[in-house]
Amino acid sequence: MSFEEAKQYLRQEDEDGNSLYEHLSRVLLKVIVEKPQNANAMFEQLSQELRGATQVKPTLPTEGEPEIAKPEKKSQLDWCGAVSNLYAPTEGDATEITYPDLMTEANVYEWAGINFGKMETYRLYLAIKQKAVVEARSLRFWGKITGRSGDYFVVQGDNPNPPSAEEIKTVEGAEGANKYAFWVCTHAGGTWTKLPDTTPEAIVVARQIKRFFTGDLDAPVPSYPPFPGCTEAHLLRAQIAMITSECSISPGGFYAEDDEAEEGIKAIKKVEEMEDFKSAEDLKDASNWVHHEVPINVNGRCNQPPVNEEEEEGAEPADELPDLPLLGAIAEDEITDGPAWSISVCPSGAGESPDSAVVAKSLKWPGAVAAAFGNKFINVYCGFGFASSRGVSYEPPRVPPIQKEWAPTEEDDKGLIEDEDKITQPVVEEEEEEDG
Amino acid sequence: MEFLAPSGSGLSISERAGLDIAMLQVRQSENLPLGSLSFWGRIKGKNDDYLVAVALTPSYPFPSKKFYYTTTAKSEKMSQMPDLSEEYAAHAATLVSKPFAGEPSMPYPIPPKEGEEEVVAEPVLDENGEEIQPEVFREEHKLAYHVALIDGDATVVPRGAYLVDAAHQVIKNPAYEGLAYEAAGQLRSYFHFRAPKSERAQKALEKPGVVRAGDFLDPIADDVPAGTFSLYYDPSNTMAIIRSFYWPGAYFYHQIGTGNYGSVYMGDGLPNTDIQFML
Repeated sequence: MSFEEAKQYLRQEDEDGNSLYEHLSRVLLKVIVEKPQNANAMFEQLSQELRGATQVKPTLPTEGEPEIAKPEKKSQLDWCGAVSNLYAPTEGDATEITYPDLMTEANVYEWAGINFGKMETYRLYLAIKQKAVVEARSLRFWGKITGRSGDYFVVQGDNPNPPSAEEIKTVEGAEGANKYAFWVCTHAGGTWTKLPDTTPEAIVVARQIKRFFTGDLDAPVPSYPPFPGCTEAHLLRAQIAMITSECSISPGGFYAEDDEAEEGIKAIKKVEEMEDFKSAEDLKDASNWVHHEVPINVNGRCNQPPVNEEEEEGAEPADELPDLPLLGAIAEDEITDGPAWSISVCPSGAGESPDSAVVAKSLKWPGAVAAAFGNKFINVYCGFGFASSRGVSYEPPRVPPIQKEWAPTEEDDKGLIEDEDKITQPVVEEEEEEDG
Repeated sequence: MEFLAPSGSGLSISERAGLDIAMLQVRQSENLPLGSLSFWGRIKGKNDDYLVAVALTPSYPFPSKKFYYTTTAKSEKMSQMPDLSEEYAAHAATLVSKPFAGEPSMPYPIPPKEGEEEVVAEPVLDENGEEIQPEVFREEHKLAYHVALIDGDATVVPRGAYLVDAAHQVIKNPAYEGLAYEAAGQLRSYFHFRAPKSERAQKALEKPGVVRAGDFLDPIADDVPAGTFSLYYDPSNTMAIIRSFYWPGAYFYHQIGTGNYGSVYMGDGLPNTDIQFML
């Protein structure tokens, strides 16, 4: 085969009009133009890549034919639309509302290892501010809960309509876990959804189950024991109630017991004129940090259940639970393997200064963080929304044993005499005689 | 760092400033080429956190990984992770659900085997007459064990990011252009970045000729229980995000249609053995 013949052979075109000659020259051109480091080893890949690029002939859009939309086009444009709404100034009358200075707080979150990204933080700030104006109430950023197919950003504000006194037997109102209301959204710019109020029963059951959130508020919560409310929104609210009650901590002195509260109701108020700020040095000691939310007891309540005045005669009063201490120091919190909080100074080591932030991280609720800096403090949560097992495997609660059959007591035994058997003779129908 | 935003975790400025020094130092003293040493993750301890970096060196058939670690308090200096002997690995396996303290030198004594009495080693003296502490199992060994487990289970790469070259060596694809939107939304497009364990992938690697991307690695979609990994688009639909729920804190991102992707682990280092109740 002469050179010309060989060249002729390579130039044979296939059905699509491509020839090996052309392909090889394109590959060589690519190698020479791009000069990859190891062209020899990369040869197959380069060849394959070019094949991918040349086998599909580029087509120019022709008039009249509809443009094929890329699948991501709609979802990306929807996001742009939703998020750009945050940039529209919101009209509102309320002047005395507060919303978090999230960009400054985010710098402190960073010391605790929490980072939502600078852009998302700013958009979140816009979203919370907008929500605060719309709701006409002060809001604070509570944190983020990670789910399996998306996350929840949570904000906290005073509950606009807490459960009324009539419902108090089954639900606690503003004096308990429903003091606050929580709104969640899946991303800055997404719609805010107010979570339903929680109940003591939901909190008790939530403590016995351990689940990941799915990212869908309407998702069912299949569990044992059955979860009251049954949807993820209720479970999310119950977990938030527990985290808020257990992980809202601050340097001592910011809060005091509220003496003006009704008798028998526990309440904590913020000290108006705070003077005695704790120094970074003091805050290294866990005994200088206190809980500033009313603790929730094993029955899922903050206060003693109300006494029912019309109770049936002879009904034994339920044992009262001892009151949990208010404003307790975090030094007293314990988990299975030691203290429940770890405290660090940031920056520490060579960078430590009197202005260093002091960060307290919960070991019981991984992701719950408090930080004191300057004369301020923040609380934030960023995690999966359940308590750490600290190396102990979760066991779902056992099914209660089957109840015993009713058995007569000795007294009853004498009094109960079995009746004589009542025998009812069946009426025998007359059979028609059949002739054989 | 914006790529890590959906994970909710990040490094503090002191950690980043320290790692900047430590990683350059490791790269130069170990003669690693630019780009071969990358941040791997952070493991939370009670008193301090571990920061881990990984170096990838070409090797046949699969790139070899070498891990370096430091702690938040001393983030400007990294050291190589110790190798684990069989005995140490077995001991580490018994401690796998124990939380980290954050002190690399903390000892975790190996209990003496049944029937054997505890051997009290004679003190060994060095040339200055000072006692040399006998080698014991320390938290850095536990760290090495956990990092290897997490890396094998939860480090993810998208299809096509790694190739098998003409010499049948797995190499990084320098011309990687990323996944298209729809492919990025399918768990089948992602693979474990580890020497393949499945027979199918091992065979593909040995087979002569061109090996298609995706044939020579283990797909993460095959992991049990189903739901170990979750995959979703970020709110703006420009990134695909994967999380492992067996190793909560393991996070992967891929910027759709670009060569940007990465895996990072930011967690307590403990496996979630309760996963079957939680999905």
